[in-house]
Amino acid sequence: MFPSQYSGIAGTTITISGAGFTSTNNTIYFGEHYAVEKASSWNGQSITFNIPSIPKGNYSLYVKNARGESNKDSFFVVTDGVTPEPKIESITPTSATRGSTVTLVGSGFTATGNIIRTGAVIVENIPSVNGTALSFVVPEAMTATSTVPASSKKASLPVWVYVVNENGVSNGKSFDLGF
Amino acid sequence: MKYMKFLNFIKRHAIIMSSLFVLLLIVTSFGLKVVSTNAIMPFGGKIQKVTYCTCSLNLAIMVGPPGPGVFTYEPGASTIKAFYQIFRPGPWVLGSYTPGGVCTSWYICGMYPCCLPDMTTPPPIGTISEAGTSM
Repeated sequence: MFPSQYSGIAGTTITISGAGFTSTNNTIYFGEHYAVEKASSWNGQSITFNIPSIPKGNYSLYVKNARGESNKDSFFVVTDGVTPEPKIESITPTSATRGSTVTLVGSGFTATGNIIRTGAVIVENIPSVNGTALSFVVPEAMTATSTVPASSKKASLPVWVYVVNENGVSNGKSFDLGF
Repeated sequence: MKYMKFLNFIKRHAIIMSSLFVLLLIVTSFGLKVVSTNAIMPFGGKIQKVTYCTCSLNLAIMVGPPGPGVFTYEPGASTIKAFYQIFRPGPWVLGSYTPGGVCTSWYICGMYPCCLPDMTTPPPIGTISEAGTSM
């Protein structure tokens, strides 16, 4: 299950897509404390609803109905429409390998609790001292772990990076990851 | 004599006859069955597993229902669109693929390394042409 967008103010109309929705009585949870009740799905694969008026923040987004409970790895950031969402302006280096430190420069980063979602791994709770820079180390899990002969040619993948925090979701920037 | 008359008729009406011939070709072409060798098929679902194919230097991506299968991502050939989250399990992916794909990795065969079909993932059924993902 995933939403059509990942941030927005209260009242924004979004659609979540997935499978296993019932025609009526789906409950869409924003974390454990807030929910949209009695949501309907015309095809069992999508639900359209408005973001409720709840405090701004990054919420786990999931659905419960008579068939059970969806995955909880999706999210939605409710914004206040005033605080700027994070923005990535540059990423260095543009080519990295396991163990490299990657630095993002931009704005709107929070002092704690920044989540970096990359195409290969999610890195959580990254602090930003000044709100304009974030650094993380490319984890071992981000690339192949098996032994490759030294004579074998190398390949790289474009890894896209997004920053998520209580203020919203950033634009994406990419770097090449060798494996 | 009749043959000569027919030839003269053709010469006098060459433009009309050639136009009719071209029109006939166009009309009949709609009835031909065309078999494509590069069929593009849709797929989509939640990414369940990603395997780095260390020899073929691509990735095998296992996708769950509703459009499941194992598909290879070929750097430089497969086009990925926002949110580009295709290299880890969790996000949903929707896209198209062409049948056929290989995922081989390095193994030790006796004393030497050798390149074999990856043993940790089922054989791919296709190669991703283009795909978009959730975050």
